[in-house]
Amino acid sequence: MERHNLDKALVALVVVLMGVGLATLYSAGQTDVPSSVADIWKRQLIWIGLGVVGALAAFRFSPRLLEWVAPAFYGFAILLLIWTLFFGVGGGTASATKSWIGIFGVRLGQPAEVAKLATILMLARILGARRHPPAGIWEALPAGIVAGIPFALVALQPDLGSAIVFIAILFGALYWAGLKPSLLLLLLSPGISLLLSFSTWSWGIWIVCLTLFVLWMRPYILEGLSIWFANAITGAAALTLWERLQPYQQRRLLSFLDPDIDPRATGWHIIQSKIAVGSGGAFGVGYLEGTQKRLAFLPAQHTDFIYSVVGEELGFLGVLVTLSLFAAVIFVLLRVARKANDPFSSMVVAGVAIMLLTHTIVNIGMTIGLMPITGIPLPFFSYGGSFMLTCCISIGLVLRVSWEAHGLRHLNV
Amino acid sequence: MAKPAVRLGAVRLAFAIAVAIILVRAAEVQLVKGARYSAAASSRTEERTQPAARGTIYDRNGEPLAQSVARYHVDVRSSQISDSVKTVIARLLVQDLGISRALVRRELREPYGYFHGPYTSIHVQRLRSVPGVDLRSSGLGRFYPNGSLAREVLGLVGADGKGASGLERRFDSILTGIPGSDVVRKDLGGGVYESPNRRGPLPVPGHDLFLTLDAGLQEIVENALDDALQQFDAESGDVVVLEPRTGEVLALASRTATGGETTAALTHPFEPGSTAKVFAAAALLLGGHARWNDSVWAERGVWHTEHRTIEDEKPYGYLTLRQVIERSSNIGIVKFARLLNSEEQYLMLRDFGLGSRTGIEFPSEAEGRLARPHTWSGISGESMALGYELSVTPLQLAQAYAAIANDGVMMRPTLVRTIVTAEGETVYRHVPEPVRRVVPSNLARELREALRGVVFEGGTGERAALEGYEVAGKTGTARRASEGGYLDGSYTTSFTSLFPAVDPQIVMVVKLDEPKDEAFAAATAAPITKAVLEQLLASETGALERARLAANTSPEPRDPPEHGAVTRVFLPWPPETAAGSTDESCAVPDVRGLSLRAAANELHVLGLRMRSTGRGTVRATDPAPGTIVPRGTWVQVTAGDRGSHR
Repeated sequence: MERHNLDKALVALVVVLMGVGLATLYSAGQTDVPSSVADIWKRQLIWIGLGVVGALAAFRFSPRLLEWVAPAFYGFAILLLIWTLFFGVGGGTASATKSWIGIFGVRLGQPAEVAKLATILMLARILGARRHPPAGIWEALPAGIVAGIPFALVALQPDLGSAIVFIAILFGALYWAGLKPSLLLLLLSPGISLLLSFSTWSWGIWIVCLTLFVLWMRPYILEGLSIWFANAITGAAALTLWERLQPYQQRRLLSFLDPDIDPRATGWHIIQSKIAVGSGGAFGVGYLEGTQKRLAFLPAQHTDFIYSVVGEELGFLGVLVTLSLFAAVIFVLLRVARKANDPFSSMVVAGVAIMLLTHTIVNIGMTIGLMPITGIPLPFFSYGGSFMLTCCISIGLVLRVSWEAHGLRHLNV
Repeated sequence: MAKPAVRLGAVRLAFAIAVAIILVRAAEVQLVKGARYSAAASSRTEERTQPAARGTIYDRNGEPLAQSVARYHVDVRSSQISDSVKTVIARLLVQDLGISRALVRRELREPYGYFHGPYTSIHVQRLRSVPGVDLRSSGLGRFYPNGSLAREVLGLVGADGKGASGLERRFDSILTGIPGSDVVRKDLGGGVYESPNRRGPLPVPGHDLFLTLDAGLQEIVENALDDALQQFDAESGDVVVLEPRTGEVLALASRTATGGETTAALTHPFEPGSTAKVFAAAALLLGGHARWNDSVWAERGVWHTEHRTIEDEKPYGYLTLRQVIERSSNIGIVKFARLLNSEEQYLMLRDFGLGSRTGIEFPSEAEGRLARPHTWSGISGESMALGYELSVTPLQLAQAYAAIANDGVMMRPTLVRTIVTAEGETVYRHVPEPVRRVVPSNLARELREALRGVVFEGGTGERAALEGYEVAGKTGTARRASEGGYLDGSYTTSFTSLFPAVDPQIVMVVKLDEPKDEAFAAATAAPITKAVLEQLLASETGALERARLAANTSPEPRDPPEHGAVTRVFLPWPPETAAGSTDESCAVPDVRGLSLRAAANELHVLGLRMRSTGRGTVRATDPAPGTIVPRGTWVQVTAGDRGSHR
């Protein structure tokens, strides 16, 4: 007799996170400087309501049906992204970026968020269908294409931050699917080469290390060569690519490296966020009392930098508690992924975990100066309908997987 | 190929490490560097002190004299308002704030006009409702609803909000409230926002001071003083009005000819001149050295003593002590004063409060000058009887006369009646504070009688006489001293009065420095007294008790001359023969066998001075009789009883 259990722990954690998130969003609206976000928590409440409906609907979805519908969903998401590229509108805190779908001037949503879920499902389908994990880079190529298309489309918006999430999802999914870490490293190496190319010396050292690594690993000749050349090309093309970056992206990257380069302009956000978080001290300055937030020193305090509000008003204690909540959610998701009945379900849950994990780490890391400013939202905290909906539906799917799981001990995905 | 469990573990580990890194970083930012970031953030907030309103200073009837009011700078957003509104604003700025037309025109031409001021809330009242005008608070300031009334007594409040002078300084700790605090936030553009959740304690206003001053009387006094300064072309003047029974100062004004206000009535001693004669008279009477009807020869107006020439304003013949006071005879009082020993005279002057501060609640009160008797020269006693060689402030003089008015008991003068908290609770109420009994009450009454005579016809204070009411008082005219000595033609005139003469309710000292046209108090200070009293009677001020006044409208008959009493006549001294003589030396007379009194007479007639030992009949003199000595030489007279003479 199978017993189906709702994962009450996950529900409770998510509900608490949503509550804290909503309270923080309310606080973010309480400013001295007149702000348009004063009542934004009410709209977020509506989105949460829609999200709960979405989660309940997703919970009704059988993973089999989901697997079947995944390509169509993925295709639909890609079409939306293409549509956005041509007819998208800017909005909100990233007005230079055309990331919204709008009809008659009314912004409906950000397809990039929906595309994340679609990509997770599509990756789960193609990787979950494999009997064995990809043995080489070429076998991982379909997955790379699945993630690469939305990555490219989102990066072209241009929204590099959100685009990087697709790469994170890809690598997470590949790893969960069983790809060897050394292969993952090789896949990742062109990106590292790109980053290190700012200095001839560092890039030179890297390329030597890579060469030795490839020789030691002995992959297929073609693979090894192509990886090596990819590194060479990205390293060489770095300057060109750098110049092709949008000025704001250049500034963000630069100011991440040294926020004090230009504290008034590019480093402004990081410095103000660190002042906000730092001034919170151990126990915070008090709920609703954060001065950085109240006086509009904090940028985008209702979206990208909402966690600075937590840090400022609730202090290290608040950071510890909220971060623990996030960690608990991620660990619960990983447990669900571990005990899922089938590879597809497990891949979906792992993908969701990777997505939430990436958002959480990158967003929080950004507010304390660990990560560059990428402008990706914090799950359940940041204001934003599309992402709230995406998160809720994802959690709904995870709950379904968890509900169905009956302790398949030796999952061999 | 790693097993799923291993992979799960690896993912968990990686995630845990990531979370740990974030936590470490958060701890670094928040705990380790937290103070630094807090400092950076604290520049966003500012703890402001909310100034506490300084207590109000009222007169005795609750008329505000000095108040704390909110003050404002005025901004005009000229570029955002129409010309018609601008015209209205310009009119209000000129009318209400008293800004010059040119400045208003110039400032309103700018996109943002600024008028620093600061202007009080009363002045900016009509500007509040005008569009385009911003009033920016500039804290609290002192406002004087009665203009400059008693300004110097009240004192000034410095820019730091502390009392800098006068009562503001003396009662600074009482008038100063406890400032509150609040936290405001400042945004990038300089905007300031209140922070209701982090409000500190509310400010507690300072205590209110109710003075003994009567605003109505003070105004009368100040105006009369100004008029007098102008009329007599005097350099400066003071008026003190005291309630003798309580010591309450009803009015106190000091002005200079240029219109400046000072606190001279409390801080600048002067030589009182004839007004001090009363103290000598009191000492004479109390010591039993003289009676009112004792008389002396007044030398027909000019008397050359061995040291100096003493003159009277008019030539008098024999004058009783009473007449000496009434007519202010210098010769008379000096002759009487020679009956006093210096210790007695000193003690009486000291008891009248000369040479010591009255203890009024005012910073930097002067104590005047009264030398101790052992430092006196031979003529100091005479000088002091004439009101020289000592100095008093007008307040001290008023206090001394108030003792006479108050049946001999001197009260400590005070400027403060009550101190009341902002909630209306009285924390201090002045209780009349006797300093000492200076003279017995019957002597005080007699002195008042004598002072009544001054204002009667023939007295020097005649010009202070009022229709229907009687004034008692004493004039004083003193030559002014400078470093080189007494100045010719430079006088301080004063008139000290008791009103009404019977049952006095106020004691008033009026003093003028260097009146140009009329040198004598009789012609200057006395009329001011009259003018003040007339206005006081006509006004509705509560400074006088009308019922008590009404009981004394008809002047009492003066005490009849003491017909039955023996009228003692003191020998004029030194005799005209000696005083008029150009011969500076003489022979010591043979006074052996005479009584000491007779011997003294003999010697004094010749201008010699006498010291004696023993009692009874004179047996020997040193120098011996017949010796030629300069006049003024001390002659040692040895007396012995009859037994030894045998």
